[in-house]
Amino acid sequence: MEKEKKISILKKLLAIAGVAAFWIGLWTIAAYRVNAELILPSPQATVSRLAELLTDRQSYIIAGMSLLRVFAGTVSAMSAGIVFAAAASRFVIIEHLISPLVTIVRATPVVSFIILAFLWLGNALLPGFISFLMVFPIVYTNVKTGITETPAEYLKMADVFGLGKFTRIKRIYIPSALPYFSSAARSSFGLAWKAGVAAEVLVCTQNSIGLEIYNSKTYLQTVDLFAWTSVIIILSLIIELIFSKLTLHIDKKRKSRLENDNNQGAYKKIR
Amino acid sequence: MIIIKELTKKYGDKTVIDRLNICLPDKGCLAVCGVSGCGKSTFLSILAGIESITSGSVTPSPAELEASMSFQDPCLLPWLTAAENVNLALGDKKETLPYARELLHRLAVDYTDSYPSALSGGMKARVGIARALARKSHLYLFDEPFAALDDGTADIVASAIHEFTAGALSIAVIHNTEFARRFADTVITFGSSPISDFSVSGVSVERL
Repeated sequence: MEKEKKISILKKLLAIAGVAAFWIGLWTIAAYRVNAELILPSPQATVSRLAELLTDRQSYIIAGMSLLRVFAGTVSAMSAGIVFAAAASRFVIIEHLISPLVTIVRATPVVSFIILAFLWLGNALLPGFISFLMVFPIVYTNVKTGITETPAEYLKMADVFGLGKFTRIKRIYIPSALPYFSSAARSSFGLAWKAGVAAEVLVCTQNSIGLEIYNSKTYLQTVDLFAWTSVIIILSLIIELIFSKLTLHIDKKRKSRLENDNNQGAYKKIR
Repeated sequence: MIIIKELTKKYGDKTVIDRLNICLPDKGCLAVCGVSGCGKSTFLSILAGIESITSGSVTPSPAELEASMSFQDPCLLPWLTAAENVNLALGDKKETLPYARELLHRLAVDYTDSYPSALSGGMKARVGIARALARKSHLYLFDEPFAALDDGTADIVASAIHEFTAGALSIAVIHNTEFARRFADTVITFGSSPISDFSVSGVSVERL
């Protein structure tokens, strides 16, 4: 069994390596044919610049600052999304007030917001604000759905037993909305990260990955553009991995309680 | 005494309870029988205050009655253990959790710290009954409490209901009329011809 598992993992790794080798090979051939680093740098040149970035302390400060801005925007959006979703589920007037905003934010191209918000906030706060705008509608909509789709029979039970507001929130609404929130959290951070960096590029935020990308365009340093884009991809993958591990852990914990698992139930274990 | 006058309940065009008149005593054990769809569960839900009345009256009002109820579908929160589900009726306090466990043991549910998904249908039903018994009330309502239970377990549950609801009125919807006669001191059958005794119309009453 253990051996089969190891073989299966090995097969998967080989498949991933095969696919990566195919695309890197294609990229190498294309770079060789173009033969102009300004238009298409080779994978070797990109990796060597990336290695330089990884050994430079300043690169970590730049990446860290970009992450911090997006993280601040995301966390604020998640908190606001939960609060407003709860309020909108309770008071129709709040739902009526928030719903058009959410629809507008979702329909408006992010670049319009970046330019508009730049005039209001300046370039330091803008990436965080743009991340906020990306995350808020997703969290708000999902959490509100989770709350409004709380099974009616649970609420009837709460009425019969006279459960107080705090108990209802803790024992019924939060567990009902949790899977909706974790799904929103999983999908929204990646989006916020990309939109945040795009905002940094457009408004040249100091100490940011966006500014590095902007400079690489200005000075026609295509290798830098590829290297910093690689940094964005790597960080994005790491963040998504952390978020999915975190939310999957919550979901798994919840599912282990909810699912009819033969290994879980004492009664079924004995049977 | 609970006085029910001209009670009518409609779902759209469908009349489930039609001008029901009945006086319920303050204490005792009542079984409600009748064919499926005759309004037994709706009757309990109205008394519990979770269904509205189309017309007529219930005095005292369901809000004043503050009934405790076990549902046909036990309606347990899947993310709470059996004991935690029962503890909800005790105010969801840490210090009342041992009593919730004790109640479950009394109803022959030993897996007090298991989640509902790990319990059989009969055990889930008993957790729902334990939750109803945990709450102190003058009126206990049980919607088909014995449906998922074997005879032996049904007797254990029946005796627990009698013990914990002593001095109060308990009303149980029961399909098996034979068992209903053993369990209750009065059997009300819905959907039969009016009987003037016991201030009843639309139901028949059998005092045992």
